[in-house]
Amino acid sequence: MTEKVQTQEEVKQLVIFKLGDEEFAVDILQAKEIEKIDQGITRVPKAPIFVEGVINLRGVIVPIVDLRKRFGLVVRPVGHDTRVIIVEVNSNLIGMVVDSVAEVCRINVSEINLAPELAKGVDACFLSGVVKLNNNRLIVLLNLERALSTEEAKELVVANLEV
Amino acid sequence: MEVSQYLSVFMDECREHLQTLNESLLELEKNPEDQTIMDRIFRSAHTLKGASATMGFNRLANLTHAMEDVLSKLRSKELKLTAEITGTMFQALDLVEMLVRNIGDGKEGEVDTNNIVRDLKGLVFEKPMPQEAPQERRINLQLRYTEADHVEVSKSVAEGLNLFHLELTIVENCVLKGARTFMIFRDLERLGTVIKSAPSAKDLEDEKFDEKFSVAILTTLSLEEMQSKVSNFMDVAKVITNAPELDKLLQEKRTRENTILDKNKSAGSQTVRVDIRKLDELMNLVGELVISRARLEAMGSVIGSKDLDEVVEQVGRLTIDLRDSVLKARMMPIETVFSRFPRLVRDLSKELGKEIELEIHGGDTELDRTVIDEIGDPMIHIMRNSIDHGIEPTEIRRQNNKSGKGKITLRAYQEGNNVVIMVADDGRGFNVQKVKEKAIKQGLTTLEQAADMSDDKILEFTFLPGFSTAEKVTDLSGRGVGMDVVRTKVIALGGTISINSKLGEGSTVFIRLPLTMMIIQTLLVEIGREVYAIPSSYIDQIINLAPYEIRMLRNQEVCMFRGELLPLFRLQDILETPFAKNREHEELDVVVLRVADRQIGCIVDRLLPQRDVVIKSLGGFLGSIKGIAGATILGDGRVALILDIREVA
Repeated sequence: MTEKVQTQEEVKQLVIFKLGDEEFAVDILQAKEIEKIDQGITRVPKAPIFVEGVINLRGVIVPIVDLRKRFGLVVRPVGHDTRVIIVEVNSNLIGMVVDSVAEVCRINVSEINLAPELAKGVDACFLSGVVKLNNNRLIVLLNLERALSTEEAKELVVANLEV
Repeated sequence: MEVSQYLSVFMDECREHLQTLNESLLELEKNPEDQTIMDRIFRSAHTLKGASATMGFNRLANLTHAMEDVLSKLRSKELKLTAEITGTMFQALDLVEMLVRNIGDGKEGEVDTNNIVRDLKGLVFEKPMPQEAPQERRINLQLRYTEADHVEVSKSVAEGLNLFHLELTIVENCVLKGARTFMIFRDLERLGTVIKSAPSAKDLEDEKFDEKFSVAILTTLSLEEMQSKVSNFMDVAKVITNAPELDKLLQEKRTRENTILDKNKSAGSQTVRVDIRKLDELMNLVGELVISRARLEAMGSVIGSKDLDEVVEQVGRLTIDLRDSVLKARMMPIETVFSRFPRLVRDLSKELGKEIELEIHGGDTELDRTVIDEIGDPMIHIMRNSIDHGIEPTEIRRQNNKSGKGKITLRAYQEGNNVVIMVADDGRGFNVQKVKEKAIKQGLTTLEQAADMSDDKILEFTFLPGFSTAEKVTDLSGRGVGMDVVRTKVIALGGTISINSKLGEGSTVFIRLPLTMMIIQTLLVEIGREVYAIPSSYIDQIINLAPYEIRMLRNQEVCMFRGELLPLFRLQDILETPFAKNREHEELDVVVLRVADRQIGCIVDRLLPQRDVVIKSLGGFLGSIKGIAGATILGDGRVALILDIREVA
C-alpha cells in the first residue's frame, strides 16, 4: 500500500457515516462541517418529503434532508450520535441527517469499484461507487448531485405514493 | 493586461459619463452660451474617449474621438451650436450607449459607427479630411506612452533611430492568429526594436483582438523601407506606417494630465464603487450580530449584573446603528432613474410635434439599489403613455382652453416604509366611461357590477393584459401590452400601482414601492408549534371572531365583514401544520388579507408582535416553494418562514 502512494496515485479522503447499520461516505472536499442537532428544525410546508426543514447556520438558511427517507431506509429517532453533515452541492449548502459519523479515511482512487445495481437497498443511480476497506468493511460512496437533486425527488415522491 | 476585471468599472464609468453628457447637452441646448456646461461636456467626452482607447475598444474610441473634435471646436467658438449639431450629437450619444451595452455583452463589433463618425466629421470640416490623419492620431492615442517611455524614445531618436507607428491588418480567416502575430513580432524584431503594441503582446498572443493591431518600433530603416518590408510579411493584409512627431506624443499626454487635474477639481462627493454582493454579505453579518445580541441580552437577564446590562444595551444600540448604516449604503437616489426622462420627453415631444414641459421633484428620495435597477423600464413605459396618449397636440389643447404647452410632473417622496412615485400629466385623461364599456364588452365585468364601481376601480381594468383604450396603435404605445407588464413588475418588487384620472384634466399614476427589499415589516403569527411571518403590506385588518359567527357556505367557512361575506381559511389547512389549536378557541384571531382586489380571512392560533425582519432566501436547493416567500431568523436564532400571500390565498 505504501508503495502505491509512492507512485503518486490519486488519493481521496472520505467522511464515513452511518445510516442505520450501513456505512456510507462522501468526499471530504464536499463536506463543510459536522453539526449536532441542537436547534429546532423549521418545517417547510410543501417541500419534498425527505426535506426535514431549514436551520439557521450562522445567518445562512440551510435546508436539512434526511437521506434515510430519501433512500427508503429505516428512520431512527434523533439520538446522542445523530449529526448533520453540511455539504456543498452545486454551490448550495445542504445539511444531511446521519445516524452517526464514523471516521475520516484515506483511499486510493483505484480502489473505488463500480456500484452494483442495488447496494444496501439504495438505488445505484444515487451512488458513485463502493470501496472495500481492509477489515472487510464495504463503504458506499454517495453521488450527492444525484442523491440531493430535488428534480428527481419530486418524481420519487410520486413514485412512492403510487406504490 | 487582464481586461475583464476592469470591464465593470469601465462600464459604470461610461454610464456615468453618458448620463452627464445627456443632461448637459440638454442644458446646453437651452443655454448655448454657457461655458461651464460646455466645459463639463468636453471633460466627460474626453474621459470617455481616453477610457475606451485604454480598454482597446476602437470603435468606441473612434466615435468619442469624433465627438470630442466637434466639442472642442464648439468650445473654442470656431463652431456655433446649431440644431443640426445637437441632433447629431444626441444620435452619437445613443450610438455610444449602444456600443457600451454591446461591450457589456461582449460584442463590440456589431454596431455600425461609420455613418455617424462621418456626420460628426462633416460638422467640423467643410471638406472631408484626408484619410490618414485621424488614423494616425488614433494609433498615437492607443500606444500610450508613459513619461519613462518618452524619455527612452527621445534618447533613441537623438541617437539617429526612427520611431514609426505601424497599424497592421491581418488577413481575414487567418488560422492561429495568436501564433501568426507572434511570428510577425519576431520578424519585426529583426527590423528594429518593438517598444510598444496595442493591444499588449500578451493579449495579441491570446488572440484578444479583431484583425488590427498597432506597434511602435525604433529602427534604422526609413519609412518607405519599413512599409515595403512589412507589407511582404506573410498573412499581413495591410500596413499603415507613419512617423509620429515626438512633440505630439507629449501633447497628447499633457491634455490627459489636464483632464485628470480637472477631474479632481470637479469631484464633489467622494465615492467608492462596491460590489453589491459585498453589501449583502455585510448585511448577513449584521443580521448575525442582531441575533447574538438577543442571546446576550437573554443571558444578561439571567445573570442580573448591572454592568453587563449596560454593555449589552450599548452593543444593542450600536448594532441597530450598524444595521441602518448598511441598509443606507444599499440605497441610491431615484435621481439615477429620473435623469433619463428629460431626454425622453425632449425626443418624443419633438417626434410627435407636441410641446411638453417636464417637472421633477424629489429626485433625492432614496430606494434600495435592487429596486432602482428594476423600476427604470416600467417608468419609461408610463412616461411614454403620458406623452403619447395623455398630452394632447398643441392645437387641441388651445381649443380646450388649456395652455399650449403640456406638463408632466414626476414626483417621488417617502411615506412611512414606502416610497411613492407619481407621474402626473395635465392631458386628456382617461375616459372612464369608455374603459367601462370596453371592460363590459370584453366580459371582464357586468353592467350591474360596473355601475357600483368607483372610477379608480374601473381604471384598474387598464392594467389587465390586452386592454387598451387607444383607438389607434402608434409606435410608442397603445398596443395593449405594457400596463400589465408594468403592474407585474411593480408587484414583483412588492409594490402597488394605481391610476387617478379626470377626463379632460389629466391623469396621475401612483407607484408605491417598499423602501428596501432586504427588510420588510411583518406580523408574526403562531400556528401549532410553528411561527410564520406575514408581510404587513398584505394585511388589511385584524379582527376577533367568536366561533358562532362563522357560517358554512358551500363547504367554505365564511363570516360577515363590513357587510360583505369574507371567506375564511385556517392557516393549518393551507400549511398542513399539526397541533393547531384554533378549533378549540373561544375567540379566534383572524388576519384579514388583501390580495389584488379580494379579501380573505386567515385564522391563526395566536398573534405575535410586529417585526421588521431581514428576508433571506431558502437557497437554490429548495428553490421556490409555493406559498413561501423566504425565511428570516428570529431573535432566538430560530428560522421563521415568510408567507407569500399571493400564493397562499
